[in-house]
Amino acid sequence: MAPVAPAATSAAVALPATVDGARNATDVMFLQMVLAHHEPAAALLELGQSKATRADVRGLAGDLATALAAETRTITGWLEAWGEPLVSTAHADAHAAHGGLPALGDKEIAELGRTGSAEFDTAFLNMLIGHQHGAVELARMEATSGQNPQVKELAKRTDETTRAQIQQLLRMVAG
Amino acid sequence: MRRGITLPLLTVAAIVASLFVAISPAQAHGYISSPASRQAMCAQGRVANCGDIVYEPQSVEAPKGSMQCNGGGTRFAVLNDNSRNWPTTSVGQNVTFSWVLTARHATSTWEYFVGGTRIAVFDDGGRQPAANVSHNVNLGGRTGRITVLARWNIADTINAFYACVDLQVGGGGGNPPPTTQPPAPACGNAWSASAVYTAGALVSHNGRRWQAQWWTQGETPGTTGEWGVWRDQGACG
Repeated sequence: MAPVAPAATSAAVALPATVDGARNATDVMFLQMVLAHHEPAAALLELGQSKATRADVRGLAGDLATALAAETRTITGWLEAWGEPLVSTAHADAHAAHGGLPALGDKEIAELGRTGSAEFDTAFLNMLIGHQHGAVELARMEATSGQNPQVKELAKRTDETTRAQIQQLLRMVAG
Repeated sequence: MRRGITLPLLTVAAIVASLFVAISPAQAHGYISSPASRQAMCAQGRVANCGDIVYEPQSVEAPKGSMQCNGGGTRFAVLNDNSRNWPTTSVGQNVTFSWVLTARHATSTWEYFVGGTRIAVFDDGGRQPAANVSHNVNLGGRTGRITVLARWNIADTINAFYACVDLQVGGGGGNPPPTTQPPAPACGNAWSASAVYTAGALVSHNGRRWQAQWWTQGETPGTTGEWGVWRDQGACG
């Protein structure tokens, strides 16, 4: 159980490529849900990079997309090392039982794509903020109920960095 | 022997159970991000010491009908505290309120109040809201500092989501008065290249305050970029 190296510059950079074998159901589900959560985010961020009017909004969409892609690769590696599926059937059912989560699906992203340029930036930022609140919820679930030290460290950093991102995004949307 | 089947089923049950225990209480929801509501002011760090609301500004949920910023009850009472000097946003007579939604509950109405008077209502007729919700509201000639209370009434529960927005309303034309700015805070401890800082640590460097977003050592504030470890907190004196 080697300790996890602290993050150097972003949540994506310093994640260890290897992961301890010991885990519980929450660890596995957390990683699966983060992957599921990143998938629509990637589509959203791509739209933001191509369609946002403000340069700072396009810039942050690019930065986040890069970080998210790196994290997706690491998490995929961890789940594969464990021999666990990348997608959990339990979580799809649970989403349905939630009566609407996630808020960000293909339909919503298509709707955003049709938004006029005057409203696009605000609409994009609000959707991204809403989506990032979901990441904070997932991370706090893992911090409470997870077991694996690397996964718990990832959750801790996801909680901290995502809330810092939300701070910045809220300032952008309010300003 | 059925043991080989029983175990995986139990595992699935455990996963589903832990999911509902962990996620369901939040289920999450929405708030006004622009102009910034009180919970948005807390979540973006412009107002300090707000408590748990910084983790879930989207969760100000309470039974319908309250006229309080936290919807009544005991949770998030900080939102009712007018002594907090909530920063205002400068606006004209027509204001577009836009919402962050983290779950799109079927909606009866969206209501906006000033001082106990309902100034606008939008009836969704029980439909699920669009991915992006914004409403244009006319302030009816009100000027000066006002607090708008917004209520998002959910169609299929007894609850609503509450958000208060503090506004400085100009006369319509011309330049609105500047948004209230707190005085520059004291600089405090200078950054040290050898020290270890963890998330939330505050240092000063080159006349500005910086907050660490996570563990760091030997990274100079001002060189780590907008999304880097050191977040600029503005000038200090």
